[in-house]
Amino acid sequence: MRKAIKTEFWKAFHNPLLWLALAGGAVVVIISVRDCIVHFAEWKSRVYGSAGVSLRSEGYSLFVFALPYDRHSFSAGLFRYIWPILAAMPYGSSYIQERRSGVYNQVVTRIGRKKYFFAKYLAVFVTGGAVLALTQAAALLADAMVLPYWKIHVTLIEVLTNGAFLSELFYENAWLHALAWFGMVFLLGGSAACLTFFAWTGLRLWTLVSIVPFAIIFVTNAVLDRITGTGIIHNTGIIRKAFNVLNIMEINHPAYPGFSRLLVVGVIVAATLAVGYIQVVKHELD
Amino acid sequence: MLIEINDVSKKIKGALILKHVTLQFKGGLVYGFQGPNGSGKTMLLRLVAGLILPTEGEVLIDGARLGRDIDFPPSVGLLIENPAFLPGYTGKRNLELLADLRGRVGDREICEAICDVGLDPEDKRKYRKYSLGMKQRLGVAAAIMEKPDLLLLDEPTNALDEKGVEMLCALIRRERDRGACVLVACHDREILDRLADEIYTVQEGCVERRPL
Repeated sequence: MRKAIKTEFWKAFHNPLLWLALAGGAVVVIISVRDCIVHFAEWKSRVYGSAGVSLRSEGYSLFVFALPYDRHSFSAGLFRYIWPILAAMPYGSSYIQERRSGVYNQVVTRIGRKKYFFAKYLAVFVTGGAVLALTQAAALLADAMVLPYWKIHVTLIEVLTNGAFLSELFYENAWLHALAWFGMVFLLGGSAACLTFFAWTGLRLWTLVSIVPFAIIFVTNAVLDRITGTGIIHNTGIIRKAFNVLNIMEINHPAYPGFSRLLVVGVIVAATLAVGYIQVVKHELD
Repeated sequence: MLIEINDVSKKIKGALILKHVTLQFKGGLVYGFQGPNGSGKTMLLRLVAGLILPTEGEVLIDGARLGRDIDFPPSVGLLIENPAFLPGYTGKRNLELLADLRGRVGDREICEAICDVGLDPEDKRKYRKYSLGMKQRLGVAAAIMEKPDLLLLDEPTNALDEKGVEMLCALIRRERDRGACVLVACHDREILDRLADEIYTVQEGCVERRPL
């Protein structure tokens, strides 16, 4: 098993698509920095000249406006929609490509289907999660170049509502909270990347396979919306549905209090393991 | 090595691809399968490789049933349909990745296999830059590098020039003499006549032994 995992990770980290996904993440980071600069300029012009008002007293901080926290910026909106694609891009299409090319035959006859599947699953999970976690971490660090990282006081501005993901830790140690959040992003991204096991071998292009997680989440949203009827259109024009899985990357989304995201991760992992196992280990495509 | 195919039928999407096939293969012999396109030659090799399971009947490898006792033959080298490798790496790196999975052979054996098929282990070109003939040769190298007990070759002469075919025949004889059981599917009757100890014709899913 160790050799199978080592080989899969070697292939994953030498895959050009991993670097393409990281480049996509870098674009989000750059847009995020630009958003912060624009924000900063607007904020400063509003605050200056007002008696007794300072940037700090107005809660102008990295931990309010950086990508992981700000839900209204362009970069946050962009990330909200492309994260499943970014997660799937690095290695999600490798199973389908290997199956179609015949590399699969060479590998499974040497190590067996089960080892192949679990090594592949792990590589897809880790690369998908790593790309998203790295994007968010890089955005936070890059945004820190243009924003002051003042500690937020709970009485000053409510960034994370009570009951949100580790909200107490956020007000005590925001950096530690950010680390924990990146861990959560890693799990979410990894599990979303594994949704590519729902793809079928008829999909020839890696681009189509990489879109599968987004498509599944999009359809799930539509179904949940239809069932629950909770669709809300805010006056900001941003469609925010209570059960919109795409919004799971919003740190303070009301639909995902506390560790509820872990439940979503668990559901996706269970579903993808089951489908992947049937597809790779049990199912005969011939 | 003893391979037993007992009353095997294979149905795919309602079509019967193999019909009640019963065969036995032993180590140290070359078995040739000849037949037109779509006759079921590749399917037969895929069954023996464990890549698909029979709809009826059983395939036994040294008494162990494929799909029940074992998933794949314990020592198999195969070239089925097209040679398949990762396009972004050199031929040698591709073989190293495959060899690492089992850890049975090292750098020396990999280089030997590459030289045996007439390629250069130091060639820095990526697989995607290989010609069709070079790809086929690398496919043969991947199949033989671990000195398997069972060697399955489907149309191994595809894209090979005359010299390449001679090289392939010599390799197959060498593998047979080593004790491997070699199954070769080929539509070229002349090549099978030169190579095989037993020849079978495959016609519409039925397999019959043909006199040499």
